[in-house]
Amino acid sequence: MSGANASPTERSHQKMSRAIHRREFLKVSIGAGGGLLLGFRLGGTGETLAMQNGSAASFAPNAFVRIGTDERVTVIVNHSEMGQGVYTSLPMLLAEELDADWNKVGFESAPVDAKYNHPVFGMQMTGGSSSVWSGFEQFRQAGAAARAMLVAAAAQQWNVEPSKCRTDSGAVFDPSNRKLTYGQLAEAAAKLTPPAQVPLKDPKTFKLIGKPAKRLDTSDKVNGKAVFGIDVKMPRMLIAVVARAPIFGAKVRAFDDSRARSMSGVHRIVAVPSGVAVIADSFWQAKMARDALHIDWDEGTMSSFNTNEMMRQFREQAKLAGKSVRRDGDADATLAKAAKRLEAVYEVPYLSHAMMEPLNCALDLRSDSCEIWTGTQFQTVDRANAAKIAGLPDEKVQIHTTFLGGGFGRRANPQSDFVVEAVHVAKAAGVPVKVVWTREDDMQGGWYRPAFLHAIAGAIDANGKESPGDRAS
Amino acid sequence: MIEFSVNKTRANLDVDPSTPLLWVIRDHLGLTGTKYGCGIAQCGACTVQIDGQAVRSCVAPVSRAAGKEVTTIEGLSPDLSQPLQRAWIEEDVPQCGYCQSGQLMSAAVLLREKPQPTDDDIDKAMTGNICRCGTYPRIRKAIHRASGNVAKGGAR
Repeated sequence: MSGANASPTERSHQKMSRAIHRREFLKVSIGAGGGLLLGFRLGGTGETLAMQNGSAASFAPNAFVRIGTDERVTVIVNHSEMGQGVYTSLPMLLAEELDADWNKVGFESAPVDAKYNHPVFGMQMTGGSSSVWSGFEQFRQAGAAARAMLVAAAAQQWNVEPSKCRTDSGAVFDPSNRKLTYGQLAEAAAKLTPPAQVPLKDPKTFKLIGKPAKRLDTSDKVNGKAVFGIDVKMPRMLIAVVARAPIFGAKVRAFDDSRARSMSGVHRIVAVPSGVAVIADSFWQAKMARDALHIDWDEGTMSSFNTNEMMRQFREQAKLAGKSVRRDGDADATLAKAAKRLEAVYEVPYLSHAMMEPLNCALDLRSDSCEIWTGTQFQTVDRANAAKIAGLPDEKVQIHTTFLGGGFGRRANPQSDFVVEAVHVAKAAGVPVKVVWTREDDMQGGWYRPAFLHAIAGAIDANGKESPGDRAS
Repeated sequence: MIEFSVNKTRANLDVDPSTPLLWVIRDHLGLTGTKYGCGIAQCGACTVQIDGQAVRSCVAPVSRAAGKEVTTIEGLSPDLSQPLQRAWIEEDVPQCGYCQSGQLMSAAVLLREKPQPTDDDIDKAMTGNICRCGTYPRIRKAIHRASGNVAKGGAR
């Protein structure tokens, strides 16, 4: 894998509204060499990690699509693929309006750039079951704009009215059925100005949206080629395993690495804010040496905390009136005169997200750049947090989003714990490094799903019907 | 020096013989299709075959492979032609995909030993392979498809 510089060439700090966003993404960039559209291809047709840079010349009418002279349509996806299918569903939206040949459609993960912000949440992220609905118009408009330019290019060559042309399966046809494929039109279309306004299809005419389609990433997930964060390889890369605090907030007071240091494959052992990192040639060597460390922890204020006591407090608190969020009618009065009163308490403990793929983060940190490969759901936040630790401006930090072996929100947290820690480790490593969490590290490593207790009461009247009345804590 | 064969290619490695086969496959041989999930043979993501037997490579020391033939997901077929791979694609089995290498390696052993498995056979053989996305009904369907019984399978 090359450490090609994928820093975006343009940035926009504008908070995305639809209007601003349209102007932004309709800018034309020509050719495949633009850093903006760099990323690595993860699948679709079997090739993996081949940098697209330098492949067939292409027409890139906006940040979301690139059409090559080889007919390939690459959809740049701004959401993370963690099993939910966004590397298929979002390309479908774009391909629908483009009238692309679905068999020629592939995908690529987007670099971090404001252009790829979530249209509603205002940052690049994946979560809340929001990718398809929030991208529904975004991806369709990107496809429709590209289609309009391809039609205009064909109409120019034939000297006919664009409105007399039609498109189907990756080609433009004129009224006499002359045909030019998108690949044949790519270079001419790249010279045109994107249209200001593009009408979208009538949903009644949809060919892809709403119809079953095979996932584009399946091939690479049945032959071992799909690259998850934990699979990332770089030349000279070392692997790090970190001994983290056994208690939240605990700090390393001192550590004895005399045995660990002498173990085979170990390069460096360093204190990082989250604990002690062992940097070695391979995972197993790093893990064995990590397990051989003796660490004296300052356990801190959380050492007396336990979840049994916390849940007991929750139960007590639930008996109090609490804070009113919404009041409809008079619940207290209804409950007081209820023929029958039903009460229930629901308790959910802290839970590990338990993704199949334990946390990991690979970095190539240099004096003037930081390339990160990881499966994250929180690109904008991770980049900003990584940049702070790396001492670099945001735009010098790039994140290459790999496949995620599950996310469930664990790979989206405001402190970017697994990314920030990896930057600290990379500073000490001096060479590309991949921090890998063991399963135990991952289960114990925090950012759990929150524990809660929910007490609910309802009234049933004399006729056995429910009365309005609900109290929740 | 430990010598064995991986996907029909000879490997000769200077590595601590107690190192789990998984990490030798991933870190030393660079074959990352075999996944690390739990490290204690409880999830099945690391399943490979040693002389045709399904083995949890995360707990198998590499010494166990000495002189033997190891097959990983990369060795299942060079071109997605293995019937299970075709069935997996046909049934769109994977979601996140992280467990699927292990699922396929276990299923391949099952079909060799029982070419016409029942639902119960499948459930028994595949019980050690966990899928956090819950693709189990499609896995069962795809195994039936690969065995030639396209109509069978799915949720009972």
